[in-house]
Amino acid sequence: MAEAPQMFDHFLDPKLGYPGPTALVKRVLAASADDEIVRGSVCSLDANGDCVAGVDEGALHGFAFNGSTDFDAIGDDGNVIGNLSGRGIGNIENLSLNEAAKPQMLLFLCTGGFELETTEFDPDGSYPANTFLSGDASGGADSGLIRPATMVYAEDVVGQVTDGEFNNHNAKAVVRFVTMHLPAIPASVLA
Amino acid sequence: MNDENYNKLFLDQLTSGNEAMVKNAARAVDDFTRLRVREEGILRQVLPFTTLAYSDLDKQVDTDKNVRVEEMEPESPGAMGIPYGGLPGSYQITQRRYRVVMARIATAQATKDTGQLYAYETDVRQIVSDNSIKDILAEEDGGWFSACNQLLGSAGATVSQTGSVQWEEIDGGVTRESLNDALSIMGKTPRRVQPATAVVNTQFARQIQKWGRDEIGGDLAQELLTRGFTSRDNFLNVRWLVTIKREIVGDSAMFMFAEPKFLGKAYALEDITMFVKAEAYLVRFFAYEQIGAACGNVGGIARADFTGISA
Repeated sequence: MAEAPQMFDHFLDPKLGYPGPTALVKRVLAASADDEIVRGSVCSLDANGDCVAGVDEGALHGFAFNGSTDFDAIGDDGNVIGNLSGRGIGNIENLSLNEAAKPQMLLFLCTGGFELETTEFDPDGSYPANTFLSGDASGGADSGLIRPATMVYAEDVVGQVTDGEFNNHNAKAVVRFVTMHLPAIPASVLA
Repeated sequence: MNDENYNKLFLDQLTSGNEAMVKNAARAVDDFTRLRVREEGILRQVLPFTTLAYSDLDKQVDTDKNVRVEEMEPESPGAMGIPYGGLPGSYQITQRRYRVVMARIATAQATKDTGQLYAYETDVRQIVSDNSIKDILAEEDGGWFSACNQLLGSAGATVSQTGSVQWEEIDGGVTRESLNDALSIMGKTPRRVQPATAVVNTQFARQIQKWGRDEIGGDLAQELLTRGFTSRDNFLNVRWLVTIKREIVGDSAMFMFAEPKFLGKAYALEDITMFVKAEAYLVRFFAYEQIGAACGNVGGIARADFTGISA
């Protein structure tokens, strides 16, 4: 018999740099309600400024504090909460009331100074201290998981490991790292 | 006391360094903001909010996000005629339930150097509360109408829960006949609920103002000419709300809602509260609340888009 899913199965735990009025935590909309983004996933902003799971080269990256199916991201049909697809709070001209709702995500931007713990990492990787972190591009099977970067500047780096991989107080495997925004050098420049 | 003096009093309280005085300043804006939101929010007039205690929330296993589960009246398969010696078939009692999810709504943080605010002639409290009201209501009302639009689908689409079309396009402009056609939409669903509130915008209201005595059939024509068509409690046996928010309710749209008990639930976990922080000469304000509102009975909403309206 399986254990019921728990709130910490997919989790992002900020250790340093949050909360605070100047924390670089940004509200963005997920690109689609159909592609689930779990808590703790590494995400990128697409061309519309919406968030997708994965590390897309050259994009702004962040880590999802809430999941795209969480109640505060998107409510059930008929709920006011999570049903506003417009981007502008208070800017009524930006409201778009006839489109399908997009989940409202809270991203810890990689440009912010945070130390984070996430459950969303590739378990096949190795995470000693100082390991640079990246992730697969969006749309793949492992999109949203962090993994060791193959080479700095060859792909976008989103963080650097501090305390490595371990089991947290909820007996869940996590990786602790500081966020970092280090875009890859375009291949045309490297060539 | 003029606005400049109110400003000085308010800002002096904020920069006093005295926590009690700062709280007093914030509280004064709180009360005013809460009153205006109650009066001006469309959602809050269609579906009045009930104060909810944290102990009334329903815990979930896989999340600690706040939610309340609501029950709807159980359906039944109906009675049947049976021959002598026969027995009726059985059915398991079931019930539709829905969740009212809660979250925080907050305005952006207004920040300023008090050295500049002291020079303002406008009452700063008014600026702060007016903007908060506008912003919070945009989120509440926008979220509500967005949720309604999504439940209804699109004009002419069948709503799966009721098997009925609840968003119709009605030709021929806004006439006594077409308004009644619109009001009949909700009653056609199997839920048989009747509209209690209609929401239109001011541009739509002007179409009704064009009606002559022959259309209205009485002295109301004169009243419309002198006072216009504004929010009123009883017109065509329905309460009417007229809003200036054209972005939320379009010029040709008319939304209809059943009485709250046949519509859904709206809760306030935390009423609108103004956060004010003054550090030396820098002040920051924002307003926040914790609410949830859901339409539980999709049969309780309907929409009509009128075509053939003259500008």
